[in-house]
Amino acid sequence: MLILTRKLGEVIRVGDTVTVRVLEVKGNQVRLGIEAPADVRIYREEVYRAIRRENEEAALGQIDTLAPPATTWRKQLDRN
Amino acid sequence: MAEAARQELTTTATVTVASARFGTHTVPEECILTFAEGLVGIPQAIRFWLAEPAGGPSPFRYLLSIDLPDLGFLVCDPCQLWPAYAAELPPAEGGGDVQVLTIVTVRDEPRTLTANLLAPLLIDCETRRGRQVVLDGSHYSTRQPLTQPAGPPVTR
Repeated sequence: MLILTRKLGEVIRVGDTVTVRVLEVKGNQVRLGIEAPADVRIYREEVYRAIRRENEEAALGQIDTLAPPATTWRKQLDRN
Repeated sequence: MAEAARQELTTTATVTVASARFGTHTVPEECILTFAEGLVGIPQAIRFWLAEPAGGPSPFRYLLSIDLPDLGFLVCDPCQLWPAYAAELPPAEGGGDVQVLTIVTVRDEPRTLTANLLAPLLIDCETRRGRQVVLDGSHYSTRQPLTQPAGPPVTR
């Protein structure tokens, strides 16, 4: 891991196109301003992990037989 | 004449997908959806197609991978289930029509269906290019039960 020390307002550049600026430091919170091309996706780590995990779990679900999901759906609706 | 022949070629071009899980399907090229970045955590899954469930009308469809033939998702249109959801989506990049889908996770014991409302799939209807977007900062969950209203949690 590369560890850099930056002051308020200072910038880190990642490659040619991504910059990360320290906008605010308050207690244990840091606000960062990130500029990157539109095709670079930026996520909070925990959000990225949650979505990746959900995609993986959804891919493992028993959806092989096409009819049962619809059946389950109707049953769940009927219950409400 | 040559133009007509070319037209014929483009309308009949197909891709055959052989999957141990979902069977072998012939997909017309004009039905292929391209997720250039893949899905979150699955960047190698670029091309998909939508399959209708067997056994009559259903709110669900299947999003099946062409690049990874055994990868498939159950999906549904979240805007039908949660009408307020559409208003929370980012505007279309090209300004055109967008198809919204959400991935549904099927869990066993107990069998439950949840929708990933935090990261919907947006597909440009004209270009058939899609991406999985993250509604960061929204109150939506990756595991929204299909039978419950999707709203802000009671306690935050």
